[in-house]
Amino acid sequence: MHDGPSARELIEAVKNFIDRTAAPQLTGHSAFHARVASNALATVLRELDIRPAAEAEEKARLEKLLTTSGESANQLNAMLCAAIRSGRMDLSTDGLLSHLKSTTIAQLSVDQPGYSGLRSAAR
Amino acid sequence: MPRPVLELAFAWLKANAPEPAGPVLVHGDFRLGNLIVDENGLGAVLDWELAHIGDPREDIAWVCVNSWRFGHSEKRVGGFGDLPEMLDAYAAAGGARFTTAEIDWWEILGSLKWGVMCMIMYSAYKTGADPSVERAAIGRRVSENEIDLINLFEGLGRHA
Repeated sequence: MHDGPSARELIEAVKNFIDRTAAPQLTGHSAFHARVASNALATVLRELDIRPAAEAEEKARLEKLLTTSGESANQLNAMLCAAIRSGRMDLSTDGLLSHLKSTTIAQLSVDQPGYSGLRSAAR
Repeated sequence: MPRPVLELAFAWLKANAPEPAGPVLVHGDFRLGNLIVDENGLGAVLDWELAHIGDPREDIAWVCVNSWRFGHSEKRVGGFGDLPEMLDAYAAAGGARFTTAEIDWWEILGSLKWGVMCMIMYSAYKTGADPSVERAAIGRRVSENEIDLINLFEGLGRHA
């Protein structure tokens, strides 16, 4: 398989088309949706940069927190949810809140890097 | 799709539920976007379709939810006011007297509620009921509520 153009280049090309060519010709609701579409592609570009390392770090933290190994962060998160729901883990659990904070900061860095709550969390 | 931060909020709210206050008429969507204010003060309160009988702290906390502070997080009331001042005004106008710490539980409920509502809007995309890019994208706003919940949890000791 080749990657010329790469997934990143293809997404950038489509985003540029929306921003420079399509969006300026649209009005009203369609113009709004074009902006949302462009933002969604920006999210995908950030995800390509951030997710692989962030998810590996999340998985390592989850394995330490749950003292078990798992196939994926998703599977471990399901176990963490079950532990929280049953009351086995709560705010007083060592490392739980700091783990969730690190994970959410990484997620927001992809989803909404300009959100005010991200700045508050960093303080 | 497991969401441990939301799970923690559900469990914490359940374990720390306050004694009910009121009951009063609750607006149900009391935030800056539903107020009309002019040079003479309050002109109108809009959008009463969520009104119900309930706890007065639900409305007081909803206007404090960070999603409605529009980037001005340091002003807890809607990004424009301070909570002690609003609680004083509420009591002076004949309402019950609440402390800022009492609002925390309700603000955590509010942030959780808006996160769940964003997930419901995204699920309209996922099920095919509304294939718009806007409904898909709103699913990536739930993490805003998750960081707000974490900030609230971290602040619990400080407000008390």
